Amino acid sequence: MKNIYKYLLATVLASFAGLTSCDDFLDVNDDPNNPPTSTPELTLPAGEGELAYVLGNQFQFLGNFFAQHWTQAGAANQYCDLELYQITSSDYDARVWGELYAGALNDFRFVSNQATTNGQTNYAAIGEIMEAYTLQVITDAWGDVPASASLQGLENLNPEYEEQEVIYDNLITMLDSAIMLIDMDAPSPGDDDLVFNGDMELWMKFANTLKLKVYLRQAYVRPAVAQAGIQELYAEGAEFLEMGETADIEFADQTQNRNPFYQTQVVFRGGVDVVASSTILDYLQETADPRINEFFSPAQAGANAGSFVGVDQGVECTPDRSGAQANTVSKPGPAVASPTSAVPYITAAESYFLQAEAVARGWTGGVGDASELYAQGIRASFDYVGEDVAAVTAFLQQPDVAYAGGTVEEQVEQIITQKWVSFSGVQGFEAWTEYRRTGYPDFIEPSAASTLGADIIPKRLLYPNTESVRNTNYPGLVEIDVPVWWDVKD
Amino acid sequence: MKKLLLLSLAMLLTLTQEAFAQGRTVTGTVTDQATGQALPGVAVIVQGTTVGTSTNVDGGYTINVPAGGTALQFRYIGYETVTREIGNATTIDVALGVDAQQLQEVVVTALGREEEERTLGYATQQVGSESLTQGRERSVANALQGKVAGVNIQSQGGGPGSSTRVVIRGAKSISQSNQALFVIDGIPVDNSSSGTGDNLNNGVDVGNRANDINPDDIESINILKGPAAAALYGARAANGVIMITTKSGRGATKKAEINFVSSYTVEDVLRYPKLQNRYGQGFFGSPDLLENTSWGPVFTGELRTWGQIVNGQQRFKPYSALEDNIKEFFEYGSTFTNTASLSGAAENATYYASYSNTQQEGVVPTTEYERHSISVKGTTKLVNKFNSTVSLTYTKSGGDFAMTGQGNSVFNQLIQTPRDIPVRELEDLSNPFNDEAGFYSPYTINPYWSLQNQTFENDVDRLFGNITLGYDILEDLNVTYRIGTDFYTDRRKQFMAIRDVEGQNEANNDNGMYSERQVYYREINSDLILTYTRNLTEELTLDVLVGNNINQRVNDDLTATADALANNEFKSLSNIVGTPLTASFRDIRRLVGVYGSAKIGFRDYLWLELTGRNDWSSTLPLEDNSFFYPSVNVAFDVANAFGLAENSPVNFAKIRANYANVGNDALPFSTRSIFVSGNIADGFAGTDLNFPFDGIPGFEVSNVIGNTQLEPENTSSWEIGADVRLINERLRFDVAYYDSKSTDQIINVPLSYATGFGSAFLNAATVRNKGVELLVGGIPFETNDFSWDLSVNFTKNDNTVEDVFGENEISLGGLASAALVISEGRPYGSFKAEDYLRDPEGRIVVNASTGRPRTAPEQTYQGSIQPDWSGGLVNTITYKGARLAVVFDTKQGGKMYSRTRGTQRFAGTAPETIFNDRQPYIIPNSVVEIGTSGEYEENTTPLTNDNLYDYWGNLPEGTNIIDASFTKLREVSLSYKLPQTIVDRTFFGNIEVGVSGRNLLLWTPDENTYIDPEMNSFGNGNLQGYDFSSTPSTRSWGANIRVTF
Repeated sequence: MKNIYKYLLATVLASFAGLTSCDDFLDVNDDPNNPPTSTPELTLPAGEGELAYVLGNQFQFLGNFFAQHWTQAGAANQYCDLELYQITSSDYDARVWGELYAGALNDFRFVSNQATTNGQTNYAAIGEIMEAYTLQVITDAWGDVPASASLQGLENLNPEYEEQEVIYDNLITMLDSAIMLIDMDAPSPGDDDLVFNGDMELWMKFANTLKLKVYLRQAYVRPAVAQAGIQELYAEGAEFLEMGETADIEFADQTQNRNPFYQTQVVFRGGVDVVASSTILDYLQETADPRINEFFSPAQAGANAGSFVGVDQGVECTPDRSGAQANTVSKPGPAVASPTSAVPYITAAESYFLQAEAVARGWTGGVGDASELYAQGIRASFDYVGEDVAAVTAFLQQPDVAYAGGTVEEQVEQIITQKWVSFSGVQGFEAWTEYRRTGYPDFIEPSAASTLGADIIPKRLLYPNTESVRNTNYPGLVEIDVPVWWDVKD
Repeated sequence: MKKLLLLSLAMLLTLTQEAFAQGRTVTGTVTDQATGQALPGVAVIVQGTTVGTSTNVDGGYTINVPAGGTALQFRYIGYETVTREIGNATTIDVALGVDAQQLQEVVVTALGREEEERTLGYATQQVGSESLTQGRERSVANALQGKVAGVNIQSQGGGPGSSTRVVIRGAKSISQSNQALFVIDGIPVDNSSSGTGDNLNNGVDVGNRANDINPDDIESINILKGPAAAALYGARAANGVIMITTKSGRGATKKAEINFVSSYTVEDVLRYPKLQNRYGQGFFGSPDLLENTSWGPVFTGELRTWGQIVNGQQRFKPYSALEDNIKEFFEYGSTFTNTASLSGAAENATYYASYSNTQQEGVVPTTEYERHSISVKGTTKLVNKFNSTVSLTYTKSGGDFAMTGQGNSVFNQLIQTPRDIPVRELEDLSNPFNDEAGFYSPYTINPYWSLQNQTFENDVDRLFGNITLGYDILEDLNVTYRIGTDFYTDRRKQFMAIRDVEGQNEANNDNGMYSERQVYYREINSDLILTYTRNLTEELTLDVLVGNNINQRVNDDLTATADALANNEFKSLSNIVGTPLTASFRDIRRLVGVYGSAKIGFRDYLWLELTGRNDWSSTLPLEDNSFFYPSVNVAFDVANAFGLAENSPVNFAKIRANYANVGNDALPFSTRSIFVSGNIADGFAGTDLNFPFDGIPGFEVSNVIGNTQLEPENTSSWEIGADVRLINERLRFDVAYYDSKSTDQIINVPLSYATGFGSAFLNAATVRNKGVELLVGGIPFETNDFSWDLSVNFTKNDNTVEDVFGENEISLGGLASAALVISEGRPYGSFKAEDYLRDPEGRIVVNASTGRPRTAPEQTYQGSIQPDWSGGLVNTITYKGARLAVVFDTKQGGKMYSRTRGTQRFAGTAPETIFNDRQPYIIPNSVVEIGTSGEYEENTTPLTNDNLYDYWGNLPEGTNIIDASFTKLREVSLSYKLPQTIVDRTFFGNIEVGVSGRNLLLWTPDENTYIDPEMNSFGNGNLQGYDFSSTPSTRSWGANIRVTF
């Protein structure tokens, strides 16, 4: 009998003693599905791709509707909110605000931090440049946003909002420090840099062009700062992106690699919603702009089959709607609605138009010719969308297109109007943003379906719902018709 | 760990050495006192020793009595124990009397222990086989509906094989399961529903895994309601346990008995949405032959063309309402179930084997579900003092399901159908007016086409079972080792055909899709349990249990998708244009626990039990993965203590009280931050950007921050209750009050995206559940032939989220514009949704130019899914061989989101859309804002005919949140057992015939003209309360027969 107790005791003790060797048994909590670490090489393309997806999808719809390249077709109503200007705090939340901060921006931050640790100076530079680019997109959309207090994880759960003016100053600081990091002799990325394949000269030009863009955005609110900054750029002999040097992300005709506008609108929605706005279509026709063939496609059915027909902005979201199906009018065309359509960050055309404006404003210390840069911008746009650049010479003879000179403001109007054309369908967000800054083209009237006051086109996005519940520093509701800091011109 | 298991087994074997001692032999027979039939399996023990045997199938035994043995003890569950002096006898025959009290009140508690119900200091409720199977419900969980207090059982949908959610005493956990743990014969089994659950577009309810259990195999179910009852099970049992004991042949009086049950039930849709029948196809009051809405003119009855012109031809029909055009789409469904079982007792053994087959045809054409299950269970006495039980169930189940949700789902197409479109005439897809190109509307697709061409099927193979080995070391010391497993594979195949047409229906063109998913799950559970039972003194008894538990759960999930098909001819991954997308996911969790309990009984009226358990879990930080939790419970039998049973009408009166603390671990892989393959989506199916991107891999910083500092979750609860039975048990009450607090909940807490992350795993919330359960039963009338048993149960659970990290709000999911959230100070699962803009007096603010309501800039809280109370009423009337059972079930209060309402309003089919004959009207009690002043004045702008559609089609999502209250006539069954005099003339031992019906009637508040509020489209997880165009629920009725050979 005593033996039994002995055995029992042994069993019980063994049970407990066994546990000390249980560590191995229980050490199974490392996620086998995902890596614990990454490298700048692996994370840079993720950040670049995510940013392009936001710009090429939700911001593409938003910008092209507000800037009146596109409008809602009659037989559907998916995007009527954009025509009604009824943007709520649940729009552009997790899938835009969230992807910009926790997706692109945080990935770029990882790239620059990790690259700095590893001594990969060029990756660090690219990470920082892209961080600046992304942050400008965020602040241009929402105004005052978390910036220097952001991206700190558990260290700061309630990132403070920062004034847009301060953010703009910091953008320049970030870009300057990134430019310092660029080392033409150091190893640079390859295929994993989806934008320039690691060509650091182009990254240098991209950073300079971005600086120019950042300064010009302040042309009306802080002309002195803008002017000084631009003069300094030119004094240093900064080079900007040129013909064929567009910074963009090329999509691939493969499963889940296709252009996001193509995927959502053309494939998922069957192309029933988005059609050409009369605002741009009329202008393209008035100026006999050959790019109409690239930006739009002719109506496929109905009385106007084969010709280019637009729809008055927003009218199909009003009681005056015709209800006509999308295929009876023009839809976005081959340059913007193909599976492989690229999504640009900054196009060569945009670079030239920025330079043209800087020259027109007289801020380049006499360097450059506004008229020529304007023409180059148009050429670069033809080139980018696949139209014959040689046709530009004739196009420049069109009365509304020919560079008319005149006052600074008149020149700026002409430059921005052509810049707006070049943005059609590809850089919707920038088209809306430049419209907010300059008020050009001046023939844009609010959507027929607007629920805002007369003459008001949205001036910002509402802070997302998630901020109001997750961030104690949420500044409260700022209405959609309140301009951001740099938006001071009527 | 493996070594440890082997060691314990080896020890068991060594212990068997201690067996024999020489003495004399006694033989005899044990019979049932009442019937005189032999009782097999009765334990015969030489008192004061460890020597024992058990009776064979004829009730006979032979035992070697060691020197010094003076008496034999005869013990058998459900019978009174008898002790006989041996004296000089060599033959001792015994007749055992039934222990009435014990028979009723022995229940199966945690770890499969059998305990007297009256000694338990916590609430349990037992449901017997008859009650479970009377309604011929295929799902075990559904069969419990209305019968148990404190348990919320919600069937989620009306499709064949659809799932059910079982929550006991309120939801506690925010990120982990709140469902009761299902335990079969002591082994936990999986009841997950790894659905295509919250896919808004093509969701399919493929059922939960408890559906694999055949109700006919169940002997009884005991529900352990609170943490105290389940404390020994540890973490997973904080949600309560559904303890299922399967049939084992126990109590069989024959060597072999064959039972056969066959039932056939027919089902149809329980609730069709109410529809208006005054306006037909069109828009803005005008006819439009393409429209999928009923905003056309008033019906005229005149003959008109409809649909497209195809090959120069067009169809004609009268322009009038077709009241039943939606109903006609649905068919009668059916369920045909056959179970054959063989059971019996042989020498030192009992056995049970069954085969069951259930075939269900859904009310939606082409949908079906099938289940085959084979089950065997046997108990034996291996050698002296050893006993063993082996049970094994193999289930093969699966079905063809219809997709739900927005987009192309059948129900979504149907409820938009204009009131004059003859749905049945769309059925023939070879008719050029009905095919992809010729279908009348470009805005929807033909529901018959989607049934034929958008399919989802699954096929589950599952095996679960266990081996239990017990050894009586001493008379009062037993060791039991039980190892069990549950594993299955669920293979799913989804197909969406290519649509490629020209013309007006071009917008619905689609490249097609085919996807295969394999879900593999395996659980292994091992328990080594030592029990010691002893009468310490005349007045004190002691039951001690110590044990060790090892549990491992593994998931392996693989999906491959062809997102563009080559053709529509075959369903395979090789039918593809491009390359297939693949995704795999694995997880594993392990847990080691030691536990113990000591129960002291005093004078057979007071019991005190203490338990403790320590777990080591793989999902917690490795250095800090151990957690301990205790419980205590007291049961006081007042009737016995004060001798009330003899002197008063009180037959039984027990007061119970307990306190328990139960820990819980985290979800796997929460302790470390990771990188994930780059992916970005915008919510439209298939529009993601997914890395690799053109061959370039990309890994982004995960949006979730892992936490190396996680602490275990904890639920502490206390409970008091009483169980009183009066006047010869003609009246009985059972009442319980509980209060449980779940703290340190491990939640993936949402963070401001500006932190660079979307969320972090934190110990971050406290959820409180307080409630009352009341069970009142009685036998108002009883004679020899007749009895009427009435039982009412009532449950009120008050649920509050007491604390959320940083006053945060955690979304359980749903829609961006109508989400279900966890928010401090509110019940678990509150709706936060878009609302009308309202002035300070609560009046609706409209747009001054259109008269249409404005939407508030910020979302508001609009009620929760938690009901105020729920209850059930069970009536059982027996007269001679006839038995009638009627079950009512009600849930009052709580909200749900109804997409059906939204869609019906948008499409102009809801009755309310004909308000004011669709003439201009001013929204009652509405105001307009004066400028942007924040001042308001009465609205004088009517809605116009033109914007009525805009009004009904664009109401804030919050207006689709409706009262989810309901009352159901849940079950009616009538059975008749043929008198023995008739049966004796046949070769049957027993014949019983019956008719039954389920969910026969539904009552809901007036505002719900849309749907059965029990519906939930997002599977049986924590996201409840969404009707998102799923298959409507059904009522069923049928007949059944049971025979015994």
